[in-house]
Amino acid sequence: MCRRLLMLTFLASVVMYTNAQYPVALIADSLLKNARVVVRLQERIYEIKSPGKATEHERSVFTILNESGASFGGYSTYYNKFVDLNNVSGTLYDASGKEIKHIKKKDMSDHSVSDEETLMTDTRYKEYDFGYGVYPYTVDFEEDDDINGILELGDWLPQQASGIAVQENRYVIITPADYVLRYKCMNGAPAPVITEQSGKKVYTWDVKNVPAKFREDNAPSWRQLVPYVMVSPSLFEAQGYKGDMSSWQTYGKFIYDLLQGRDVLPDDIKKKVHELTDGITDPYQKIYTLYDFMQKNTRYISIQLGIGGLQPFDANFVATKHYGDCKALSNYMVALLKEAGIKGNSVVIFGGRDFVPVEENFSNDQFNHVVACVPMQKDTVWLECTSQTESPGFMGSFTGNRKALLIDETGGYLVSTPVYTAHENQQVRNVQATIDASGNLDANLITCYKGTTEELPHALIYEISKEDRQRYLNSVLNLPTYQVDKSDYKEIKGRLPQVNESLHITSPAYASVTGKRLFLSPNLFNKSQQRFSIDSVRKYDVEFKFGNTYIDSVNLQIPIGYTPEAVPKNIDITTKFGKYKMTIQIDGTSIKCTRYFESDAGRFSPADYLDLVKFYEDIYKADRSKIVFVKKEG
Amino acid sequence: MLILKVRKILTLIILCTVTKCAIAQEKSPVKFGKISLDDFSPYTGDTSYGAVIIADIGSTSFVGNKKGWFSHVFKRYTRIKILNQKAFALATQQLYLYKNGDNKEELIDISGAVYTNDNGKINDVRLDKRGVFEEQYSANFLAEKFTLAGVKAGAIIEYTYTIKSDFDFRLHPWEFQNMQYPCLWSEYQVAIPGLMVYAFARQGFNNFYINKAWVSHENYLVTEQTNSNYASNSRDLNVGTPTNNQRWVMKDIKPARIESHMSSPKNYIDKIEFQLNKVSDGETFKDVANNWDKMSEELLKDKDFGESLNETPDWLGNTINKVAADNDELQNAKNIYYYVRDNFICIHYPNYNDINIKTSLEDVFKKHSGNEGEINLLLILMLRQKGYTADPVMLSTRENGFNPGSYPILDRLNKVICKLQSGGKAYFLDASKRHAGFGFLTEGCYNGVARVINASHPDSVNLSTDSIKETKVVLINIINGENGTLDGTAGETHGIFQSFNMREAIGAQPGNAVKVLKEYCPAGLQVTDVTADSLTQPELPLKLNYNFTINTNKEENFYFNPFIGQFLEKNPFSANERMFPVQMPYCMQNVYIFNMEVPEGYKVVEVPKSIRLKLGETDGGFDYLIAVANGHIQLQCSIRLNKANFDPDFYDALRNFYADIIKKQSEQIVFKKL
Repeated sequence: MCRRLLMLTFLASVVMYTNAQYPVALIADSLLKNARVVVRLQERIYEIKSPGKATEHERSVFTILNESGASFGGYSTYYNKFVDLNNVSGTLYDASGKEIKHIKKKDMSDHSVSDEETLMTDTRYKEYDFGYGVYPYTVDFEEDDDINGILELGDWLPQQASGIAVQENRYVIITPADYVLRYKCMNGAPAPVITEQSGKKVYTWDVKNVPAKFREDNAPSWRQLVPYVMVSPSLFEAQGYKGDMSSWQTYGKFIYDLLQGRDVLPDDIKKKVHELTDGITDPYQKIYTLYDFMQKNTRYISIQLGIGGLQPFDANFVATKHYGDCKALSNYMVALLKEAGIKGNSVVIFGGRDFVPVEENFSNDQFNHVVACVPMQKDTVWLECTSQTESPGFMGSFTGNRKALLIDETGGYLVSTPVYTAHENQQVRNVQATIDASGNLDANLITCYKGTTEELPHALIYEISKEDRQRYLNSVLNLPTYQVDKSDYKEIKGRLPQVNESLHITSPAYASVTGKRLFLSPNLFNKSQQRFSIDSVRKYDVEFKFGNTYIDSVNLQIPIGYTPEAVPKNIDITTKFGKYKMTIQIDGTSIKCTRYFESDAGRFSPADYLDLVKFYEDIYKADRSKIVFVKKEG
Repeated sequence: MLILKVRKILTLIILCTVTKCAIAQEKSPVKFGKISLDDFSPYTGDTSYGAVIIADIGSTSFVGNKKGWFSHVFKRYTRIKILNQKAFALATQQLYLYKNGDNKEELIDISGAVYTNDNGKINDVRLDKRGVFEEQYSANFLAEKFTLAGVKAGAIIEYTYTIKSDFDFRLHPWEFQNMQYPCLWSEYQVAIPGLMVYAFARQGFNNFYINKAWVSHENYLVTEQTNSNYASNSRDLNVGTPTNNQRWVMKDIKPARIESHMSSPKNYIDKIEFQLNKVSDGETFKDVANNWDKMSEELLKDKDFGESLNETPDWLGNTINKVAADNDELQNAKNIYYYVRDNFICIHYPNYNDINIKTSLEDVFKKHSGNEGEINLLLILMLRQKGYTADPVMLSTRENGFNPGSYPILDRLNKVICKLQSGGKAYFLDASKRHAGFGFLTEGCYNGVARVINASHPDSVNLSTDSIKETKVVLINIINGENGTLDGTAGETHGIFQSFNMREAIGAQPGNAVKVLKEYCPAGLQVTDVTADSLTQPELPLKLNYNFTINTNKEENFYFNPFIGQFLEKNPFSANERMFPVQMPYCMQNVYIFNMEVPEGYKVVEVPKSIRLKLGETDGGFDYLIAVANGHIQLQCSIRLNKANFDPDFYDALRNFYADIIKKQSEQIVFKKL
C-alpha cells in the first residue's frame, strides 16, 4: 500500500508541474529589467464575417511583477448595442504557475460608463480585479464577443504603456477574401504575414521579446514613441448605416449622411434667426450674433444611445430641450447659420490639450469631438458649440493647432484649425510696487492675457464664484504671506480673446531685512518652476505643443537710504527652445526690472537635451536672483 | 415589525390630551408652479455663484402602511434661480433611493419645470417623466437621474419629488447649507406619530430663523395582516395619536467652504439627522435605540463581520506556527502582522463596503487579497488563533467625516483596524497598508472616537490628532572644500507619517528609489550621494542623507541663507479668513540644527538676530538661535505646534505665526572677503 501511495504522490507532483501555467521563472531576464508587468501573451483574433458583423476573441496573460503594476491585474471590458459579450473568464496563477482562482462573467461587477455630464448612455462595462497579494503573479483573461456593426477595428498597440515588457503579442484579422482591409504600420511596426485559406484572408502581426520602455517627462505622446499598427475597414456597416472609410472624402460622406435632414428648425427659432440677423449686413456679425444666441440658449449634456453615439439629436430637439452633446449642438449651430443664409459645417476633431497629430495618410476615426466652422472668403470662423462663454472663432489649446475633418455635401476633407504660436499666446504684465522699511510689499498688477494664456483667467471669470476666485488668488501666487485685496477681470471677446486683469496685492516682509541689509528679488510675480532632470541620459525627444511669451515689467520703489551692494547681471539668452532676457536698472530708490521669456513650440532631439536643461536652469536661477542693498551709515 | 395593540391605542389617545396649538408662523415663501413676473426681477446678491436657491423645502410625515405599522413620506420641493451658465449643471439632478434586500424606497411622484421670462410672458417647460432614468448607483442605492429642458440664464427651475420608505431607522436628514450655492430659504418639517421617538442630531454654525415644535392629533390608517390557521386576513385600524411636529427654517445661508487643513466639510455644514430611539405598541415604549453594546453583539454574530473570528479554521493549516515561531510574545505578534501585511493586497470591491467581509475569510486567505476590513479581520483571527487578545476597532476616517461616537451609525463608519493587547500594552494595527509598520495608523484614522467591537466591553478609543506628533529633525554640516566651495552633508530624520508617505512613493516606482528620494531634497540644491536609512524597517523613521556643494564664486560679498532651501516658501495658511476650525493632522515639531565653517578667506559681517516666538500661551513656538564662535556658525531652529485643532478665532494668530517664521527664515548671513 505504502509503495503505491508514494507512486501516486510522485505522479501527482509531475502532473502539477506540467500543469503549471506561465511560471515566472520562464521569463527572460531582459524582460524583467525595470518592468512592472510582462505581457506573457496577448492575442486578439478578429474575424470579419461581413462589413457589419464580426467575432472577436481576446486573450491577455499578464504577469504582475510588483505593486506598481497592480492596476494591470484586473480586467474590464465594455458592451453596448454594437458589442455582445459572449464570454469572459479569468484565471489567477501564482509565481510558480499554480492555479489559484478561476472566475466567469457572472463573477464580474457591472457598471454604467455614465459620468456627471452624462444623462444617459447604453454603454456598460464589466470588471474584475484579482488583486493578488503576493508578487509576482499571473492573470489570464479570455473574452469572446459578437460584433454587430463595425465602425472601427481597433489598432494594434503591442506595448500599451511605460514599464511593460512583452513576451508575445499577436493580432490576427481574418476577413472574407474580397474584403479590403486597410492598415498602416507606424514607428517601425512589423508588416503582417498574409495568408489565404479556404476563401478567407488572414493577416497576422506578431512581436516577441520586447523589453519595457519608459516615457520621459515632456516626451511626445506614447503613440509617437512605440510601434503600432493602425487598422481600419474600407466598406463598413452599423445599425443599418453603410459607409466607406477608404478616404477622408468617403468617411466624411458617411458622417454627412447621418446629418441629413436633421437641420430642420422649429418655426419660432426660424423667426428668431431672422429677427436677430436680417438687419445685419456684415456676415461676420451675423455669425457672432447667432453663436451668441446658441450659447445663451443651450447647454452641454452627453447622451450616448445606440447610433446616437454617432448621429446627433436633430436641430428641433436642441431647440426645444435647450441641450445637446457636441455633435447635436454643432449641427444646431449649422442649422441656425443656414436659416440666415450662411453655410457652415460640422467638423470632426480630436479635443484635448494632449493630442496626437492626425495621421493624414490614414483615414479612420481618430477623433472624439465635433465643432462647427464657417469658411469665409479670406478665412474661417471656428465655433466651439459646447461652451457658453467661448469667443467666436477661438479654438484655444483644446482644439487649436491641429488637423480635423470638415464635413460637407461632397464628403469630407482635412483642414487645419487656427494655429496659436508663442506670439499669439502672450501674457504682458505691468507692476507698480513699493517696499517699505520693514520689507512689506504693496503692488498693483495689470496683466493682459491673450491666446491660450487667456484660458485660465477665462475660467476664473466664467466658471467659479467670486469667493472661490478670491480664495484661488490668495493661494496661487508664489509669495510667502500675502493678500490679494482687489481683483478685477474683463474679457475682450474676439478671434484672439484677451483678458485684462488688475490685482492689488500686499505681502508683509516680502523683502528680507537682515540688520542693515535689504534683500529683494525684483522679479516679483513670474518665477519659472520648470526644471528638467539630468538623472539619466535622455532617450526621447522633448516636445512642447504650445509656445508662450511672457513679458513682465516691474517698477519698484524702495525706502530712502539704501545703496546697492550686489546687483544681478543683465541676462540675454537665445536658444532654439526660446528666448530669455532679464534687465535690472537701479536709479536712487527706483528699480526697474524687465523680463522677457518666450518658449517656442517644437520637438527637440535628445542631443539638444543638455542645452535645454541649462536654458531652464539659467532661467530658474535668474528669476530668483536678489538685489542686496545696504543702509548708508549715519 | 411591531404590531399595534389596538385596544390600547384608545387609552393612549385619551391620556395624551395635549391641546393642539395653532402657531402663527411665517409661511414658506414659494409654492410649486406659482410663478409671477416678480419672481424674475434681478437678483441683488452675489451673482457670481451662478445660481441662488430661492427655496429648498422638505418634509417628512408618516402614513399607516399594510404591514401593521407606519411608512414615512419624504417630500422635497426646490426652486432655483439660474443666474448664468456657471450653474446650468443644476438642471441635471440625481436623487438616491435606498434598498435593502427586497425592501426599497419608492419614488412615488416627481415633477419639474423650467420657467423663462420671454418679454413679459412666462414660458414653462415641464419635466418629461420619460426623461427620468434609473441606475444602480451602489450596492444599497439606486440613482434616479433627470434633466430639465429649456434652461438658460435668468431661468427659474423647480422640481419636487416624493419618496416613500419603510425604513424606520432611515429618516431623511436635511442639509440646510449647500456646498456650492447660496440659499435664501431652507426649511424642513417633520410630523412624527407619538408612537415613535426620534432623537435629533444637529450640526453646523448658522442659526435657525424658525425653530418651532408643536403637537397635533392625527389619524393613521394602518392595515394589519393577521395570519390565522385557516386564512390570511387583513384588517384596517384607524389609529389616532398625538403627533410631534417640528419645523426648522434657515435664511440666507452662504455656501460652505472647503478650506485647507480641515477634515471633511461634511462635518460642518448645517444639517439635521434623526435617530430612532423608542417605539410604542400603544401600551409600552420599547427602547430600540441602537447602542454600542447591542451593535457589538450584532456585529460579532454577523457573518459579514465577526462571526468567523472565533472559529478555529482548518484552512489556516500550519501557517500560524510557521509564521509565529519566535519565543518572544511581541515578536510573534509582529511576525503575524507582517505576514498579513505582505501577503494580502488591499483592494476595494466596487459597490461594496470596505468594513465588511464580502466572501469569507477563507476565500481572502486563499486569494491573498481582500478589502481593508477583510484583511484586518483576518489579522485578528490569526492573532486570536495564537492566543492573543485582539479585537476589531471601527472608525470613520477624516475624509469620511466625524463618527458621532455615543450612538452607533454603521453607515458613518468606513474602516476596521485591529486592537492588540500584548504585555500590558495596547497596539492599533492596520495590515491593509503595505508600507505601514507595526502599530502605525495612517493620518486618516485619527478622527476622534473609534469603537472596540467586543461583546463584553465595547470601549471607545479616542484617536485624537492632539495625541500624535510628527517630529522631523534635520542636521546640516558644512565645511570648507577646495577652490572656494563649501561641502555640505545633510541628514533628515522624518516623522512617522512622512516616512510612510516616502516609503509608499518609493514602492510605487520600484528600482527608482534614488530618483524618488531626490524629490524630497531641497529644490534649489544640486544634491549627490542620496541615500536613505531604515527604508525597509517601517517601525523606524526614515532618514534621508545627501551631500551638496555650495559655491561662493569668490565674490566680494557672499550672501547665504542657512536653510539651504529647507524653509517654508509659502504660508500654509494662505486664505486671509476662516469659516471652519483648523484641523491639522497631528501636532508637530520641526528641528533644524545647522553647523557651518566660515568660508575660507571670508569673515562674517552680518548674522540674523536670535529670537523666540510663542503661539498662544502654550500652543506652539518658534526658536531661532544663532551663534558665531571659533570660526563656526551654529543655528538651532525649531517650529512646534503643541496641538492640532484650532478654533476659527485663532486663525489669524496661526497665520501670523507662520508669517513671522517665514520672515525670519528668509534672513541671510553676509560674509565679506578678508
